Amino acid sequence: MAPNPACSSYIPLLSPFIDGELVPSERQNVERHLAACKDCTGRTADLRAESGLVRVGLEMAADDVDFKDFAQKVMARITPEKPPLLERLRLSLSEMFTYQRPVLISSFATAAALALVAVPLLLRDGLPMGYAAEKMIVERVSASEGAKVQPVVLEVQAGQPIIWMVDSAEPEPAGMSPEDEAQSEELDMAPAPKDSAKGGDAGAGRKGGEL
Amino acid sequence: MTFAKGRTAGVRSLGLVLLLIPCAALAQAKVDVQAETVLVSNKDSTIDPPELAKLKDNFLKNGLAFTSYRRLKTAKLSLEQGKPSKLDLPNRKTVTVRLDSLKDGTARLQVEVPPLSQTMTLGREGSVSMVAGDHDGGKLVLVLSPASAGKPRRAAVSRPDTLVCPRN
Repeated sequence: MAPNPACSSYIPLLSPFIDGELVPSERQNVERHLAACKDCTGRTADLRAESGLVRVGLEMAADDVDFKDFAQKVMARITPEKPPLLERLRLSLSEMFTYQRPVLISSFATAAALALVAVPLLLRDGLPMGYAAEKMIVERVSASEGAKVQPVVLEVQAGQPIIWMVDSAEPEPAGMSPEDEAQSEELDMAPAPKDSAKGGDAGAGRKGGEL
Repeated sequence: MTFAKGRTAGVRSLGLVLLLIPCAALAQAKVDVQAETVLVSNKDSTIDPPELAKLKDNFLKNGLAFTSYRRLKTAKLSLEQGKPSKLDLPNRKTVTVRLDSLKDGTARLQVEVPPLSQTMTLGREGSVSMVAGDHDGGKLVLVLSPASAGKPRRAAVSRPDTLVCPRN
């Protein structure tokens, strides 16, 4: 049976009407038409019954589905593949330099400060401070003015010098000035060879040892 | 975070670094020296402690024939520039040790034992012995050596290669 020509414009609106999807003006027009048209009222009732059946069927189907770990499964499907390590590292560094710059600068500065303090201390343990030279060296020995002794440096073994004193038995030559005397008592050891007895008579030292 | 905050943090950190640098520099300018006071004489043939046998050997090589070597005192001197260290000897003399300079990791010391005064360069090996006057029938000798010389290192401790059990 062909539908009433007046109904043809309302039939497409019946399903949205049932679902509540019409704007108020359209809804009022449909309600006015349904009040006057028995065919469309029947169609509306059929659509409501059909919709109820579909809803019940879907609910029954949904009850049969296991929704355990549903979110994880969905996320596992939509998460892209893990990027390579270098790429992740680059991203992390990029984000760090962009969003955490002050923290980063402070950390680097603190690390630099700690290194400045710690490295010299560690090196100090390795090589004691002041001992960069290989062996002990006596550079200069002198006796105080007016002393009746003279210093003698004995060094048969390099790095093991012995500074000894001997009596200045020799009489002062006549006319010797105090400056000359001071010079005679002062021994400059720096240019002398290391492996020999320096700065005086080794025999005099031997004499001192035979006390 | 803004750039201004980053700059502030950077300036603070730089201040911290600048504050710590002098502390590190100050911590470096300290030189340790071991000073031993040894009495050498010909009274007997005591060598106390036995480590002084090396000193005796060195003395003998240089023609100083003493038979008795006794360590009376050991002191570790921490030298800083401008702060002389003093060490009292048993014969009432006072030794004054000054850190003259510290250049390129090498320390120069000035040691005064009246009436002698010496300038020396510290080295990792050896020692400097300096006569410091008469005492108790012998001579007092001041031996200056590296501060770590008295501490035997683990690597330096020798072990026997084989363990031999005596047979009964």
